[in-house]
Amino acid sequence: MSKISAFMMMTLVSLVFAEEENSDAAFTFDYKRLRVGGLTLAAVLCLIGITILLSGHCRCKFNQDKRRTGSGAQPMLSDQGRACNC
Amino acid sequence: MGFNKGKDDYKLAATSDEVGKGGKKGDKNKDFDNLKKEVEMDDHKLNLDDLSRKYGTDVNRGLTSTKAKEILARDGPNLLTPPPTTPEWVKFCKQMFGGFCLLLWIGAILCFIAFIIQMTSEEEKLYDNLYLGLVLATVVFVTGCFSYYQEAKSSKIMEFFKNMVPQQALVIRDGEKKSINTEDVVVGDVVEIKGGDKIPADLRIIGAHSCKVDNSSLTGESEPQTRSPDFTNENPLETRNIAFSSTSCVEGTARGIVINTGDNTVIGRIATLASSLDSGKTPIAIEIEHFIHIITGVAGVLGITFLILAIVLGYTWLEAIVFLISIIVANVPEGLLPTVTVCLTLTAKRMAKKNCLVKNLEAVETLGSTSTICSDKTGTLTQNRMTVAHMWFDDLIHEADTTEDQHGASFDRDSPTWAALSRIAGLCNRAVALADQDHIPIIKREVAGDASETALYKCIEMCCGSVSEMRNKSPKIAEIPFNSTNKYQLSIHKNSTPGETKHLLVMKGAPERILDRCSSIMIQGKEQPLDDKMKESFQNAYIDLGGLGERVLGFCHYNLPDDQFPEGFAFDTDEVNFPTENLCFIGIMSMIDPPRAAVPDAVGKCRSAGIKVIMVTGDHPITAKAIAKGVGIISEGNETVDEIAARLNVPVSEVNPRDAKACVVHGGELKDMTLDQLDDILKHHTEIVFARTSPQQKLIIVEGCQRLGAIVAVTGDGVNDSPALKKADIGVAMGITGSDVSKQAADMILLDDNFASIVTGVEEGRLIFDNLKKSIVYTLSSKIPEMSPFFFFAIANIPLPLGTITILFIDLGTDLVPAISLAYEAPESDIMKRQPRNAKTDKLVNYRLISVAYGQLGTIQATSGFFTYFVIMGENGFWPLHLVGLRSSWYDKQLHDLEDSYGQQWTYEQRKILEFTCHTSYFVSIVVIRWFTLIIAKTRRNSIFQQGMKNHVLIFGLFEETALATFLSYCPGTDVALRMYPVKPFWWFCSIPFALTMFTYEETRKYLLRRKPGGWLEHETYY
Repeated sequence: MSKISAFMMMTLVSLVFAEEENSDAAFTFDYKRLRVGGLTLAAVLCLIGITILLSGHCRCKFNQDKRRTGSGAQPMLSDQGRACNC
Repeated sequence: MGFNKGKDDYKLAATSDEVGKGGKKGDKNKDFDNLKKEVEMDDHKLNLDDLSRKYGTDVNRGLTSTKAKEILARDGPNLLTPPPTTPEWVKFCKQMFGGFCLLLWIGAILCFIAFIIQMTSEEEKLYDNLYLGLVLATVVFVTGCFSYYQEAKSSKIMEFFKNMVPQQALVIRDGEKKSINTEDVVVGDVVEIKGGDKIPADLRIIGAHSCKVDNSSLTGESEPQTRSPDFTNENPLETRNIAFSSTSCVEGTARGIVINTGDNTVIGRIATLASSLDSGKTPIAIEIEHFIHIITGVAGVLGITFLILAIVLGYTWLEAIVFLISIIVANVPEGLLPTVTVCLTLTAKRMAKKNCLVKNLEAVETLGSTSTICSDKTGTLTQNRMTVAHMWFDDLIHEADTTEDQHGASFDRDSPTWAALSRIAGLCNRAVALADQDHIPIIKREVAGDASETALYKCIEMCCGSVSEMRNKSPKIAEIPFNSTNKYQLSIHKNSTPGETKHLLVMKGAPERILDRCSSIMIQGKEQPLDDKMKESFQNAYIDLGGLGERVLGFCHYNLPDDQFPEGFAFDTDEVNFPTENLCFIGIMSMIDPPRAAVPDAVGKCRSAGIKVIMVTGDHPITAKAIAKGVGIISEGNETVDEIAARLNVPVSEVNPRDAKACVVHGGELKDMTLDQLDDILKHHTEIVFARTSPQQKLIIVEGCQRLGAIVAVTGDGVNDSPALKKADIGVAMGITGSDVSKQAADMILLDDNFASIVTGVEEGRLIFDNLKKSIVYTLSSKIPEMSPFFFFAIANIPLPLGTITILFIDLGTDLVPAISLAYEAPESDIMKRQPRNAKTDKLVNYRLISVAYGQLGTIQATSGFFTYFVIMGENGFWPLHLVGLRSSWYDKQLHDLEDSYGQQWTYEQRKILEFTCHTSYFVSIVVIRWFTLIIAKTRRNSIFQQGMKNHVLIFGLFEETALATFLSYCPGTDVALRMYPVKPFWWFCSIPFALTMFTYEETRKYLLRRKPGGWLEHETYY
């Protein structure tokens, strides 16, 4: 999570930074720089996304296992059922 | 449990119909009704002469080859007609034009109509509608192909199950024995069968030698049945002189006349019945249909309103109709079809990993809605393998280990009595392990022989080591095999044990018969006289074990004195020149087909999930009840009417049936019941066991449950289960032990035969239902922000804030991954603790969901989009009020000096660039607010802070949608190709305040929902 929020912060900062740079010239906007910045951002976001997906792949399974064992731990009717078999 | 609540007033649809009549088909289909009736046959009553006359055959010489050929030409080959397979192109079309797809096709067609209208009426060529139509068509086509491919993959796995090896049958024709393919067997053929053979057709037995058949796939009886030429029962299924097609001969040999072949066999009738049944729609298909109705309703209402408004505002009819079509098409959730398909596929994959193969994608959810499970016993709940369960020796009942992996408790093996008992069980036993199985665990080895002898063999092998060694040490000298008059089996062995005589007589058989032949009993290795106290103790043990539904055998031995029987004495089993009385009783052993290890746990979980588990078996009531108690289908402390009567010592008729929660119904009783009585049983007993049921009755039981409004799952492995499997909302067959017919009829196959996988299925099914709701809320909430720009464009005459291309990029681009990622969402609460959903009231999409998606989330998103639009327009000089009514001059191609609020002049091309920048910014701000929508859609009741952000796919979705939006906006070339322009950094943040408002609003709503369960808010907004 911390990794994600760090990247979010960086994204925001870079955006604000880009804006400040261009704010003085209200009518002549530097679209070229904006495009480059935007594309870099897109690439970075894409990479982060894929990293998270790949890193989450194994953790996802882990979560599910936890879920299953959690529900399996409760006392079940079955125990009584088996007891009456003998 | 599930369907009892609030359904007592449910009216029966066809009470007057007689049992065995399919309500739907009525009298139209007499063949079908006929199939549903019990088997009628009289061949078992005929004597041999009549029989051979009837079939024109000779008992000794068989048919002549020419006659056989004639009959084969007349009756056709001895094969089951395979169920009619749907041609591939029909399957493909079903995927293309079923349910949801139809909605999109209609949308596409409407688009083309609108395009044609525009082409003919307007000079300016607008291609938007054409593109939209094409995109819609592509989406359906691609999704259709995808789901077709998915289903083709699972049907490919099905192909593996098909047993393609042609079976051989030994027939007598022209007085000679011939081995021919099973399919060439004809009525009247004389067939010889031996142990291990599959019976090729229905046979009337004319001669047998200790023949036993395994009928478990047909009747569900776990014990092999003796077959002999004697007519023993009116019921053809019960009588001894009929052997049925595709059951197998376990041991012995027999000769019989073929009385039915192919589809006329008992099994063929069942298979035909199964394939002629109509299994109806899956619950999720019904839900999606309901959803389509709602969406069509909403689209219709909005469209008509808009049409009226347009007419009132003075548009021409044609223009108004184009608007109408645009609004209707805008309502079509393009992205939802791929989302739903992918969500279901993902779940199907997850289930396949856990060994549940789903044949039909829609069946994925069905187990989640299931409120009743009707389970077969043999092979499903039990291991279908006789195992020694208890022993009685030294005046004590000992428990043996019956678990599949041998981890259960052991008993005291030190007693010398046990040594004696195990020696008898090993020696007086004809079961032999097949060769080359040393590497396989004992429990899994193949053993040739009677089921109970096999059980004894394995038990001894596991407790005391190699049986064959034991047999080598004490070679058999004489033997009297088991027969029904003696009811015992006896053998005499050489004995090399020091301190004992040279010959040992061992005997096993029906315990009371064995006891009668004994005068002493062994206690702790010492012989004691058999007194009345011991006899009583034996009786108690015998009754106890018999009451558990176990098959009980008694064991005794006798050390033949050396002076009378010296070495080399010729024992004569016909004359019986040795004592068979006054023996020494050792103990008894009892066997049962034990429940599978995972079953009790699974049944318990189903119970706590509010699912009623019913056992429907062909086996005997006592065994069925014992297993039901063993696995928890009848829970401890619950009594049947009989038990209450026995406890209170009153006649059964005096007990109020409502007092008994549990209930065991015999197939014989079921046959005479009216539908009302059956409904009564199903309604008022929570724990039901149906025993001795025929396949037809299984079907009637399933129909009974469905009539009461339950969604029924049937599990089974035998041919006898297949009609019920087909009729059930979801049929679950066993992958390893299941018969081909049952697998054909089922919707889902448990590849590892583990009943516990059903619990997984229920869990996944419920989860996907919840998650689909979330996906739908998320997807639908983008409809209002997509439609409202067009609405205001037409009504308020403002320049268009959002174009078709950008709408498509939201629906099929940025929204797709986030919507799918909701399928990975973890459950909000323990879904296995709540009741199954009520199929009538708990809908996938209801008006509350629509009101939240459209009315609450949608409007806030639309507002944020418009805010961005006005900010950009304002920044460029067009104040909001100036925009109203500006449309005609804005779109005037000749007008190159349109003045804004500051008096700046705009050329047509400049205006267009500004307009498309607005489209892009609107799109971007929608993407931003949809981050929050996604987080909101993650939960229905819980706060996001409780739920957490553990769903990595969802986080990936957030990044991916943002990356795509950024790319579309900033990539050079998109301005020419897609008319999307770079968005200034500040414009990204315009929707943040709205997003935060929406987030706070939703968190408050969910907080109040949690605070006041069942309150007004829940009633109005909990979807």
